[in-house]
Amino acid sequence: VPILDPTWGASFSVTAAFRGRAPLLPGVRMLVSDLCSQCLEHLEETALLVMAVQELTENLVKYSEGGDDLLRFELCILQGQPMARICTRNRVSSEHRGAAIELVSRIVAAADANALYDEMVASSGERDGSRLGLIRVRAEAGLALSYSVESDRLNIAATGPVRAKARER
Amino acid sequence: MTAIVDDIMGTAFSTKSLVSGDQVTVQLIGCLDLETAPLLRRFLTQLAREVDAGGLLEFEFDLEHLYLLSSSAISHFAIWLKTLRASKRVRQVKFRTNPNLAWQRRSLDALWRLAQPMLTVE
Repeated sequence: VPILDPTWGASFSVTAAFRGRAPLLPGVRMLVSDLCSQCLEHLEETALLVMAVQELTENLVKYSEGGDDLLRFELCILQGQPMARICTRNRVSSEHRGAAIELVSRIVAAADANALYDEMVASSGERDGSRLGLIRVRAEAGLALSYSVESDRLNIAATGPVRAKARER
Repeated sequence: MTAIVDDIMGTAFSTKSLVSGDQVTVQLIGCLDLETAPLLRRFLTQLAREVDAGGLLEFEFDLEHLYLLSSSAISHFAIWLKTLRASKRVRQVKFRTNPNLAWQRRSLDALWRLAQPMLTVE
């Protein structure tokens, strides 16, 4: 009978100044892909999590104001359920804080994430940058988003259930 | 006059184009992320110029060897598709996905909803 090993899971975190450091991205993708391929049943889930981590990390590279940004990726058991959790933390300047929080809260609160994604894709080119990363994490990867603001830091968490690769006992 | 397409020759991302009359098939090879998406934007701008000149009216993108499509690239495709749709000259744009990379179809859904029936995804 396939059962879930209680020690199932893996995690890593990177603390760095991500701003402008796009060359870090392929290494992050590879690490997520390797961990997922060991722990998850389906390649499709791995691909979606790689995409989600890519989008959240690209946001750090593009929008962080520098300093000790954080990226954390976890495959863990939460309340008996295998879950994936991606957390980021970065500084946001006072100039951009209002717009950033407005965008994040709009995406988090959207009743229909797919409709909002379509709306944002349709308005591509009408704003600086794509601004599609976070809505894609919610609409396409199907992860639940939450956020908090502490002083000049924006914390974002994306969480969702995954299907663990079970071991035969 | 046959259109001339200058391919991208990057290490992380490249294209390989084959023009036949007013049709072009473009292989997208590698990863489209924050670093390589500007190359895609430049390439698509080039294709849009060929549409304006009447040289290209059908596009097929072969995604067999595309391993990542980030939001930056999706945004560039969206802008390009809106331009083509407004021009009303283009007959068809097709994305041919790799059936072993199921994420590709999911990632292209939003573009399909934006630009169908001009855009098809197989």
